Amino acid sequence: MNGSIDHGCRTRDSLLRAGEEPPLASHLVTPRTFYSHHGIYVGDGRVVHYAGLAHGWRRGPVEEVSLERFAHGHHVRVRHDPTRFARGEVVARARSRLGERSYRVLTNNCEHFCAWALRNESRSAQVEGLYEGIEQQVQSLLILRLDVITRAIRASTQRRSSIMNAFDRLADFVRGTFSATASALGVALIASPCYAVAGAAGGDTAASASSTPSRQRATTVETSAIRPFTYHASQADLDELRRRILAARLPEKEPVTDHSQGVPLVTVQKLAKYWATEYDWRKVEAKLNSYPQFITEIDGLDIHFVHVKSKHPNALPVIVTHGWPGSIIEQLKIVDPLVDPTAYGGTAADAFDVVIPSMPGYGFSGKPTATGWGPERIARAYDVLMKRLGYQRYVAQGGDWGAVIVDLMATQKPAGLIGIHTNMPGVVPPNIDAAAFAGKPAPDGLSAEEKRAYEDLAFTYQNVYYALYMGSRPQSLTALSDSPVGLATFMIDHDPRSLKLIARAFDGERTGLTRDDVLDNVTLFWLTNTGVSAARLYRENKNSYFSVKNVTLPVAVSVFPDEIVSVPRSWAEHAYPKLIHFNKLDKGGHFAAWEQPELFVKELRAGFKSLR
Amino acid sequence: MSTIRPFTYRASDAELDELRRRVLATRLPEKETTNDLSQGVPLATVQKLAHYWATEYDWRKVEAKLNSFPQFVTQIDGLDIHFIHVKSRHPDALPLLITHGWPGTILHNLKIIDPLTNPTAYGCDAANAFDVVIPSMPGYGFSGKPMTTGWDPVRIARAWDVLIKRLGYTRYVAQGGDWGAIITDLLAAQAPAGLLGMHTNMPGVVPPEIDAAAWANAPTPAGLSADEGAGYEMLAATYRDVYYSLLMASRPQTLTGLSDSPVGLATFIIDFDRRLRQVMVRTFDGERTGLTRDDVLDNITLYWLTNTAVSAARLYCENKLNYFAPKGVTIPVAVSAFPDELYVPPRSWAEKAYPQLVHFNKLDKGGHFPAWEQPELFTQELRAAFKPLRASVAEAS
Repeated sequence: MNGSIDHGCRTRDSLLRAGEEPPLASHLVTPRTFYSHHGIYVGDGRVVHYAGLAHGWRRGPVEEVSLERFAHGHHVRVRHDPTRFARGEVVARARSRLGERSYRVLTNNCEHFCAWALRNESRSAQVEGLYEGIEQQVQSLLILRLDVITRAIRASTQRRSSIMNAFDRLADFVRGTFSATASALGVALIASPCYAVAGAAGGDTAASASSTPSRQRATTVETSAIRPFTYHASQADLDELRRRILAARLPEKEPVTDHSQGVPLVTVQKLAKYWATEYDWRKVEAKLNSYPQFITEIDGLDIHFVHVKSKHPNALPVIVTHGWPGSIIEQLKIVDPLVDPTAYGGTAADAFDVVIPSMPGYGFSGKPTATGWGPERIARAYDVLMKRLGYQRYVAQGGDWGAVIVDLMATQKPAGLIGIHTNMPGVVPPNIDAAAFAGKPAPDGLSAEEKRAYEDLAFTYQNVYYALYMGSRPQSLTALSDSPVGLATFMIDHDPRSLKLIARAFDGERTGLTRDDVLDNVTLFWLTNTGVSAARLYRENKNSYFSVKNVTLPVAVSVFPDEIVSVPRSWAEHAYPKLIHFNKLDKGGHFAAWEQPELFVKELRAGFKSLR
Repeated sequence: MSTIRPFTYRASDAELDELRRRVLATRLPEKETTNDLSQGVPLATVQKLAHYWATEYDWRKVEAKLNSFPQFVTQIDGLDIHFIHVKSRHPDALPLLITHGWPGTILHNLKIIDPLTNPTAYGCDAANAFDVVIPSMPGYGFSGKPMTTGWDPVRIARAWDVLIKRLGYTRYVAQGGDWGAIITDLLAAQAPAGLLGMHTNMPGVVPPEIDAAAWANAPTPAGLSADEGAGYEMLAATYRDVYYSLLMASRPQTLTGLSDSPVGLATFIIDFDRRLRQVMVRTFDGERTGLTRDDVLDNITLYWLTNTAVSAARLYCENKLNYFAPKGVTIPVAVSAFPDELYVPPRSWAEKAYPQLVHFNKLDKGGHFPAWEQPELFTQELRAAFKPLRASVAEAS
């Protein structure tokens, strides 16, 4: 909730990365229960802060602590706000009040202390913002409660969407009715002196509760709101989409009888016809809304995610990340088997809690309005997300961009990430990757399997120039915003093998992906107008897609035969020193969770078994 | 088969109404995440273009201008080839075949027709007169769209000689930029009887090992002169900037969006390279750039009306040759080096690639489409370039 409390103060914060030292005399901010906590960095890994309520409900003195203790397991941000004094002076001013014990929530809090040290002012944006923030706070608490009830109902009704929809309407009604009341109630609560007193009395209880799930959930809500989310496309949007598809003007037929020039005209025609006449978006919309979805702001951007908890107590939390041209739609088929294994041929010991975020610029997540949201930053945000959901120990899974992101998460090694699974491993030795990119003949000394992988890779690089185009001028792809059939054509041509798997769906083959699968995903891109914002990820990226990323955490690899590169075990062993699982499957391609969900689920169960 | 049929074009009102409807109904992406041109065509430029296109632009103007020139269609090698053919009234006019490129059309060359065919009206004497032949490439403009593979630049070059002979010319010169430059190089390498020489504003002269290094983005090779080093660096930067060419070369049929969205087509087309992107932004900001908004939209509207985005893209797919490497030309060559070209060729490379270099001039302004952007300079260049060859024509006759 500090996001909303601090909303009015319009200062700029930057996230302090693990191991990074803040500038001397900088103003540090870290999330706490009900508020954000502030301190002044005084060098050598030390922070001076007004302990106040930072360590529970007992009021503490101005004290000097380690950066670690200051952060107390949360992230720390550096607030770039003005100071009237030299850095040394700020440090001296902060230390001059060490031991003072006159903390007051509203008049002399940790933020007042920092403002005084930096500017000789006594001001707290939190307190000033309280009156606008409190309404959201209480709403969030209410929403949290609704969320708990929602999930209870879900468990007992096995996701009957009519009940869910009714419940969503009820939730909206409750939120609307109560917001005014809640606002007044909240202000009264915080403004009352009882707040601090009651807090002090209950301090030990609160501290001892901190390891329980309910406490973790409370922390989540208080530090940054998690808002429930459902999506309902307007009928006008769907009508307009159909109108555009019917009005699509197509090019002439390709002068070849294969896929060598891209998506054959006949496939585009079949796709357009089915899309305009038989396809029904409402089906996947209902399916999507049958899962609990949320939005929370991370690093300044709204991140949308599906979050389904298993009924099994020892479920392993897994964050599953999609790629391009994907979305959360790609992963819907694996949610139930992962969270409810006993209904899908597994045992309770196979259970996962599943978190499936939409990448920035994709689906229902926010579209970045400034540069900087590369895969590294997404990886960091995903750890924040998992921690915000209360998971202190989790695994991560990805394919396509998701694979790059989970590789990067694994190199960032946030506390609690115990391993990853990838179906597009970044394991190609850099010199081999460079040679393949340049289209050179296979280097000497490769085994037969490595040589095949090399040739796959070189072939891939000759057929994914859309990636280089998006990487250089995403904004020039206006057509993807304006032409649904153009968007669909562009998206289904991810690589020659994927095109084959998708084209056959429109030829009536009943294996792997269905026409609805393909169009669900494309329609989501269309409705959210994310053709260009999704493309920008290629512009942001500075990594090789397939090359080694220096992962030392445990890694499980599934190699699907129609993946763009079937990586040899030798490369995987070299790139991932803790390779805990390596399996070559006999069917499936680049979008394995979407195309071969059963195999994929088996792979995740087996892949992570040793980490449970 | 070899008949030459007169041709004029008139778009139907229904087509123009439908175009306007689509432009007005355009759904755009959000603004780029930068305040520069580094992510492609800025949203604001696309908005200005779309607004002007839907409200003020008038296709009928350029259509009338186009139809004021004699145009024809004739079938060559199984495909209809459209061309403009304007004869000079001066008897010793030199026949000149001018080839456009991508994303160009014959409209890129309209401004130079009068000065070339009628020099005396432009302050020049009759000895500078040209007969002008300007074909639309296969898959472009009003030429036919190949229905089978094989129409690569080599085949187009052969067709061009057939065309010029069919028009009754036994001696001629050829000129080109962009694909037109490659086709002209190839035509010169084929050295058909009667082709006296050529002019290029995008010469294929980069030594293959240098070209390979630039492609691989290797550090500047040792031993290059200052001019060569500068040429190398421009070339390496160009190769990192024109991925549309690789996209079209590998997956032309996947660009359905360009057939269906006029504004999408326009955005894709005006983003030729970094420098032209800037010119386009300035043009739609109302600055004087050498191009007008009408120039830009005339060309795009022609692509739209003929639905040729994908058929034009296929030329990249057909091509097997390096764009900038020498093609084995031994006949006389004239080179104009414009400063904002994709790379500025050093004279040293031009001398090596073209053993009979009859003209080499570095201009102080102009870019990749000089006939369109700097028609006066360009016309002067053609007059100067081909002057020595006219003498040889005169001697021979």
